[in-house]
Amino acid sequence: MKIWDKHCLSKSLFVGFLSVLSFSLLSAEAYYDDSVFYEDIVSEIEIQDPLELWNRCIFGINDVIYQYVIGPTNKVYSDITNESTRESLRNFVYNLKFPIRFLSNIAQLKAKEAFYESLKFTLNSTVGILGLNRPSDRFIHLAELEEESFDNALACWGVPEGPYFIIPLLGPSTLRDFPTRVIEPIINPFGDSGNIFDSASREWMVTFYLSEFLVLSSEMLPRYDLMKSASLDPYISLRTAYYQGR
Amino acid sequence: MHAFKYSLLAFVLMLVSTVSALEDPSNNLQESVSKVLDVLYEDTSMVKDAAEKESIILEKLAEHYDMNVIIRRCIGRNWQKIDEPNQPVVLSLIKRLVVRAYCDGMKGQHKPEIKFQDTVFVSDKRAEIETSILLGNKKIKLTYKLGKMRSGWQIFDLVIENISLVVTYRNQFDAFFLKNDSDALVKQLNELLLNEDLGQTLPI
Repeated sequence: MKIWDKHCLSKSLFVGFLSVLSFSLLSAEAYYDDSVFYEDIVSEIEIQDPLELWNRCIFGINDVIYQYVIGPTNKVYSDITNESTRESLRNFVYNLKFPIRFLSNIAQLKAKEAFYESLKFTLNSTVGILGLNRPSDRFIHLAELEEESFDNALACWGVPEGPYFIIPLLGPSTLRDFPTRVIEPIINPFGDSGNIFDSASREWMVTFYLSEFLVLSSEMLPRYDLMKSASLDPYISLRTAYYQGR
Repeated sequence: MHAFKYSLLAFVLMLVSTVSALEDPSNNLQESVSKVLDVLYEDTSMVKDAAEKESIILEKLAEHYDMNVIIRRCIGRNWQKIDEPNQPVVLSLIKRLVVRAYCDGMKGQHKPEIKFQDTVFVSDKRAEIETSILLGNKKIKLTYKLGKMRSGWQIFDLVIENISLVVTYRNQFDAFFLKNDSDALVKQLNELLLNEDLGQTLPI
């Protein structure tokens, strides 16, 4: 019996030792070697930038425009409005872009998401008073609904994205993304003369687009500024962020 | 009877080792984030300037995290292109730059409300903790990617609204070292840190 006990004792201690050893290996492991630092993570994004020289030039021009024209304009806009007004205006613009999100869902055969988008639009346009508020955010399915665009729809249909390029004033884009920027304004309620707002004058349209740009840039510019202030190369930083954020 | 006891002991040891291996890194993270926010939003009369705040934040972060880990991951293989005397300098400068960007991102009129989701263990050595930062009416998604190292759970990456800090910096370092050397890097990092007004050029 004693021999059996001794045998068990040594066996159990061996198992215990093994478990302690495995714990040490789990926590310490060969993890402090350079593999952790050299992990290949960049390859996850495929960036095609054959027009880099041209892009850098446009990036520089945009940067000057942001800094000396749009920045000061935004400063005035921020001075004369408070945060809740700006938030309401952002909501209003977002709500107007419902047709883009709805059609992009339809194009991707996402019937449920298209239905949720319609629900969201109806709720925000009515209870939210013309989209100035977003009561839809109180419902988790509506709040977490992914924002679809024509770019996503084209990607879904296998259209290759093409090279990266920077659009004057508007910023980063790709060849696939670029036409969507042309199509999207057409189905915007203020986009062309053949829709429900056909009485809207050209001046009104221009005013609307400038206002929209101002409202959206008031949110984007601080981010751009923050990105620039902590970048070794703001051009690369913006390009990488654009590809990751899509 | 003894056999049973020893087997039980071995089983408990195994259990303890498994539980320890999957120890939730969320507690330390929540503690660190809370301390950083306390420094950022504490009475400004107590702390002289932003640089002092950044130093205190670095100290608070160092209680649980080795910042060199995330920075080395940002640099990647380019580390070998940095001259040995420049390596600690580069680490120190980037540390300050990253902390400044993090602090600037957290700045708002009011202290943000941060919600931590449950830790997701990608493997026994990798975990992800998603957080929602409520800055006024804005909601920002920030995911902490952590890895288990000898020193405990370390921050491997910060992913802000799907944009990874490590990927963004790694791309920049790769491009930088195609045309420059480590002396140029030290020079540029110093310039970036000296340019304290850069973040205030568009006071929105």
